[in-house]
Amino acid sequence: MSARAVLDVSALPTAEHGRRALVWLGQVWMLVIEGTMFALAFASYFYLRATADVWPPANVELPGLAIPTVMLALFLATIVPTRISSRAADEEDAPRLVRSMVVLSVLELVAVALWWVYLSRLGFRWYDYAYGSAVWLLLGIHTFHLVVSTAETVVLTTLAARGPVTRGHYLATKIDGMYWYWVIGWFIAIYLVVDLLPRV
Amino acid sequence: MTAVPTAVPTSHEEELDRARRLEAAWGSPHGLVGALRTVDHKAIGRRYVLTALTFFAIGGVLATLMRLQLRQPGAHVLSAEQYNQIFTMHGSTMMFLFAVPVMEGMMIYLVPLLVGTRNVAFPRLNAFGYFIYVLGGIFFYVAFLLHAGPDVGWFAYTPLSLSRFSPGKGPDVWAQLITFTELSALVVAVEIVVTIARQRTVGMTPQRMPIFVWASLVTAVMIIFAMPAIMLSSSMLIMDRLVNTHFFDVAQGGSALLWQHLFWFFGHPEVYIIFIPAMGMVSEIVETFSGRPIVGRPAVIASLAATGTLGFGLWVHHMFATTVPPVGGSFFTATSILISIPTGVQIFCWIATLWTGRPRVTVPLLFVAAFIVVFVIGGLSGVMIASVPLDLQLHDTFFIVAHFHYVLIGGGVLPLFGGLYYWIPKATGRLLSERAGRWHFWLWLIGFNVVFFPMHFLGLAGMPRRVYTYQPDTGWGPLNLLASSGVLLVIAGAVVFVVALLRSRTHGAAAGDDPWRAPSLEWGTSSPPPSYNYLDLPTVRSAVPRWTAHADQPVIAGVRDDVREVLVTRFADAQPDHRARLAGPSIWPFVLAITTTVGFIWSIFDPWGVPIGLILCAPPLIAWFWPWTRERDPRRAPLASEAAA
Ligand code: HEM
Repeated sequence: MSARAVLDVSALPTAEHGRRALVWLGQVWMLVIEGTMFALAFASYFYLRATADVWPPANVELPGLAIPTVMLALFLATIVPTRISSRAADEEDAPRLVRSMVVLSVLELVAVALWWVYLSRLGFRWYDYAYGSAVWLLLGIHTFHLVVSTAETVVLTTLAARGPVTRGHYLATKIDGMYWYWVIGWFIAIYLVVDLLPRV
Repeated sequence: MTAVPTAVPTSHEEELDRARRLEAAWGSPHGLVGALRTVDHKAIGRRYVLTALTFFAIGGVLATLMRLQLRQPGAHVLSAEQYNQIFTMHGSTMMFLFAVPVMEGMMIYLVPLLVGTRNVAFPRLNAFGYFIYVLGGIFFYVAFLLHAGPDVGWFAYTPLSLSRFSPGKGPDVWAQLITFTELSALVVAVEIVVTIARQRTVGMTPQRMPIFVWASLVTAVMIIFAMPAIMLSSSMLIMDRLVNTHFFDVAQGGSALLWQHLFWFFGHPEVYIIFIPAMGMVSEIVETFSGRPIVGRPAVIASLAATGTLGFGLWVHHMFATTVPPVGGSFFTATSILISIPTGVQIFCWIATLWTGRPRVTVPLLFVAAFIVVFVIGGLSGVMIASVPLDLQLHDTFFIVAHFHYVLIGGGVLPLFGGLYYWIPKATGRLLSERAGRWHFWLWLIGFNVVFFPMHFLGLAGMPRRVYTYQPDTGWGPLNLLASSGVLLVIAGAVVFVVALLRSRTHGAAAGDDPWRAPSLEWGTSSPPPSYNYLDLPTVRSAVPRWTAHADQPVIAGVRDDVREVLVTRFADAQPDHRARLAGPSIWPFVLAITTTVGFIWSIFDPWGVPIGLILCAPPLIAWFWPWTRERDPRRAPLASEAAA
């Protein structure tokens, strides 16, 4: 037998479910990538706007403000259950987590439905001039993330409601919440650029 | 927490026992299906490198065909259309299927070893990234063989690439190849960043990170910000062609220039994405073979970071400050002047290290020397075209072809070969023949210059690039023949390398753990490393840990050896934070890669491919994350409170 110096880490916690988890950091970088994509789509919008003579083109009917404004309020309202669920995850409070996730799922599904109505009522399509292309590019990216994020919330809610709620659920809830905040942030940008800006 | 080192008794039996348990936890499954399921970063890194080298060879065959065609005026090896396709395929293959993936493969193989951990942070994502890359490459070549290859150049400028001017499927195939390779690059980038940020072993603070790890970090961050641009723009191109959007269609209010902006937002950093890991390899090689810590370590690191930032900074500056297209003269002038500063700093540090050390001249170091020579020539021709009047004269001539091959081969491929000769013994356990390496080196150094140096004069004489033939009275014949004959030397060098690699498998001398007396951690484990990388996870106390290790340098204990557990450390001070469980082998990344491929290819023909692809991807995605083994995974196990209930 010989002896050697060791640094014993066996007392360290396993399976972090907060910001220190590897997956959390991975998700942050994924959102940086998606955010760069979104930002470049906005940059393309402004580039085309700057090179166009008239923007939006004269014959284009602007989207109505009612639905997007309702959606904005709805999105802002979802911040409450999102915060509650991620607080519940921190405190490992399973019943509160499930309750807030159910509320969140319902609100997100309503948002998807409203968004669908908004898209189908839009008076122009992607093939209507570069304006249509640029706007629908933004709407398309938003649609993708809205649907994926909602699906994620619904699946997580179902799994958590079936129980038992595990550390994996807590971590996933927090990550899902972060994603959802991100979706809200970009929706606000779309609201400003697509819905408000052409009117001022 | 900061753990206090303690001394514990060890014995040979105990070590054997631990090795057995670790192998059971970390070993890869066997057989063909096992190969598809493996998540070992070494297996995946090796695959990346071998696949990329295969594409390098294919790109080389295409280059040979072009040089055969251009060897004399009016040759008939290739028609004009074939020539267009082949230079597009060659450029796209070299950039997207060889140069970037080969660097990714080196990072995937080396980074976990160099930072002293057992796998990358997201092992299944890693497997997925490889399958996406190789399926994209296969798809690209199947399309080419079915006569649907692109012929619009490797940057597919609009409006040429719009359906009005390119009615076939070529540009769609090209755009989708981009989607494949950039998706895989992004996946690699995320896991490299997270692995470097949180899985460095105890004591490896950012200041002590090996330079190659720094280079990998800079590269990964560049990929994260650059690649979305090309994914977005290639999707916009496909949409213009497929569903009648008008992003690039001037008649409908679009802008052809938008394509160039988006493309170069990616394209300019792309060159550094190839170049920066290569610089990292050079630093490692120089340090090892001069037998002393690199001179000016902070300056070298700062230069890598500065190069990475300038790759974007200048572009952004350009975009907001002017309205001229990205090929504007002032832009290039500024770039080449600024970018040459950090590169110059690094070259200075390498020379100072060699000068003050005791250099041992080995094949890896020879390739470094070749790199410096070739790269300086490339830099000089770069300074020449940086001046606006010369650029106007030389634009789109063979002078440019010569210049960017000097930069890409000099700055990327030669250091890569140095790195391969340096690290292959670690990966295979066998040394490569030193004599073969020297033949390879001389054949390439001479052959490369014979091929590309005359192209400078051809360019000055006015020979345009991308032409499939020329008239005898131009007088370009002799220099072209010279350039083409050099290809024989380059091919001979490549053959020597392949033979040396194959022979080393059976006849090579055993490498041992550390054939080079190198300073970094990976040389402390066996060659090839075991599935779990390190029996005893090392800790470090300097930037050259193996040169400064004390007898009482502690190893890490208390990381479980019966499951895939790794130690997570804090970013800034590299002290232990927690233990985390990594994912094990799974078939679902492969299945997901297949369904993703179906979606990507379908969407070339029919916009419904996008939603259908998404729906197809859902089941494997769910299966991937499904908690199959609930009881064995503490992340998924019920909490203590519930277990008690
Ligand atoms: C030693 C082997 C190589 C030879 C003999 C070779 C030769 C050539 C030739 C003849 C052309 C076409 C010139 C023209 O007609 O415009 C070309 C283009 C090109 N090559 Fe290479 N090449 C080699 C290696 C590489 C490598 C290693 C890379 C990148 C890492 C590369 C990247 C490119 C690119 C990007 C183009 C431009 C394609 C386009 O115009 O769209 N080549 N090469």
